[in-house]
Amino acid sequence: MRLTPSTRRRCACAWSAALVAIAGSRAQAQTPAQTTPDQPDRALIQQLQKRVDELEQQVKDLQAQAAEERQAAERAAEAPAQPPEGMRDMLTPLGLGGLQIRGFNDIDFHAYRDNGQVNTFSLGQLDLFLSSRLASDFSTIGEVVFEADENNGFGVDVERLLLQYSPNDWFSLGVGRFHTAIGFYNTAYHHGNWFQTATGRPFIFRFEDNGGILPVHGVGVTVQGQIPSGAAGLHYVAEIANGRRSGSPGDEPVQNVEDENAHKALNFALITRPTRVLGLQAGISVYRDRLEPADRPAIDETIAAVHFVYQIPVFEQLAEAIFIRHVPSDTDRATTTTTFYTQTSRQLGRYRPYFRYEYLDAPPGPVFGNDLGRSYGPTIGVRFDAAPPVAIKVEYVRLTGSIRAQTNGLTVQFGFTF
Amino acid sequence: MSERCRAGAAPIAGLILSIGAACAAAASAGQATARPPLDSPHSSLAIIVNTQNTIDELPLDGLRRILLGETTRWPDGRRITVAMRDTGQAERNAVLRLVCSMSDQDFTRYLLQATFRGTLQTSPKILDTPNGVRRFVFNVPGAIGYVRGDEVDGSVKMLRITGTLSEKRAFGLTLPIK
Repeated sequence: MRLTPSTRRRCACAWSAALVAIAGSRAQAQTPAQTTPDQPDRALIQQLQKRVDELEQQVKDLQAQAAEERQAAERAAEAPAQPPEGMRDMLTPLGLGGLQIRGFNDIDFHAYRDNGQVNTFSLGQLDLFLSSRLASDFSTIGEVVFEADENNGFGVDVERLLLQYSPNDWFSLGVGRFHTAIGFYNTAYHHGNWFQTATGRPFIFRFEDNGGILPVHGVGVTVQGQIPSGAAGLHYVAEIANGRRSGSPGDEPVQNVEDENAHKALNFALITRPTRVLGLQAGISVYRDRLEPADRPAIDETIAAVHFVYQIPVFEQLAEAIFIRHVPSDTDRATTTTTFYTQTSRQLGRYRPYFRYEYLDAPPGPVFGNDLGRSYGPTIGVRFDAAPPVAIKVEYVRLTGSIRAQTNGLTVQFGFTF
Repeated sequence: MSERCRAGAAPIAGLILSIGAACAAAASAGQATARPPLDSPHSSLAIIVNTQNTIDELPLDGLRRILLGETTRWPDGRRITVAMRDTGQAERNAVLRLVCSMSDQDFTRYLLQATFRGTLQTSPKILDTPNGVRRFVFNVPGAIGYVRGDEVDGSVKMLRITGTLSEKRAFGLTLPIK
């Protein structure tokens, strides 16, 4: 058994006292002529013997106390929900406990520039993020979103639900519903707008039910981890999922319980995060699926993405390009959608001005439901962190193209976490 | 100048010199208390691990990856548990600044986002005192923490931090790098 130095010192003192007492009693027992101890000596020996017993008991108590302390610390390290007195989980003050629940929300005001849209206040997504460590290598995360639609009625979506098994840094397995590892933004930011620098996602990463053209959610299996690569800091992600529904544009795009075809979507990403440069990341990903629109030939879909990101607390530079290639099975004529965005921001105290430029060029086709055509333009804004959990963002968007009516104008957002 | 004036000026000059010397001495004494030598134990940070840990040294970027939750296991497969002091402590601010180049608020937000992404399963443990950090590291074989140099005792093992820089300093504390 291992004892702390202070406990060791106390034990040593106890044993020293015991040894001195025994030595003393023997010395007294071997007094002149080695005679049988008389009555007072016997009483003294008994007294010393009693003292030795007491000291032995104290040593046992100290050892038991040290063992208990060690077990408590080990238990606390494994089960953060029940730490011993004087210790707590780092995120406890922010509200995270055993089943950890964290909320995100935002309240917006939109002043649209183009005709056909009226200025309006709107409630953003009420996002409840759940996480729990189930066992040493098992954990679960979930994201439940309450969101109003264009008819002002609220609906509930389970946006993420994942059981994770992480036995080491090189292999982590997740099963459930997750954000597809296409590019950078989709897995770096999820439904809580508070985390994002801008008021919303780049339009290429919009969610499926908000006009997005990427399969940003998948239901299936995801595996990821580090690749032993020294300073290169390589990581991989491999996913197999149901893919997106393409039978009819009105269908729920994420196939939560039933796939429309036997073909599964595959995605593989390779990412480098050089260990010497904090915040630098670059990567590529390739996604493959087979779509089956109603009354049309099947389409082979390939989505290639490349990204370069430098993100440290005081500065961020994001740049991503994505190419979506569709090849109908009855012809060799392929169509390619090209899109990219770049975003720069700089922290100046509690303010963070930012600039984003987006570009999308989508040929007409049956997959996206409507003809998106070409859209491009800048977004400029500033984020003000009024308090650590509260961010106020003011943003102006000026896009050219078919999707401008949905976005152009001024947005003021009050985002917070609780 | 008359003899009388010269006689009066001498003590005044002496007084000025003595005041100047006293001020200089006080200033140097003040400097000594405000800015201890960089190699003094109480001004340096020590990264500590359990004595059973086979690691003796750690590169600076490796330490950063541990604090940020990117590396979660020791080479022997044991899970890493990070022990930290509470918000506002000079040691904590110094470690975050020197190792992670982050403020406390940046670090908290980073952990929250990593949890949100699903990449962080366990957040650091917070302990109120240096003794608490030491005892936690002593008791948990996979633990890593930090204390001031003069707070290290035989119950824990101090890691040697290696890197490209010779020494880093913040908030009056240094992180000696070999």
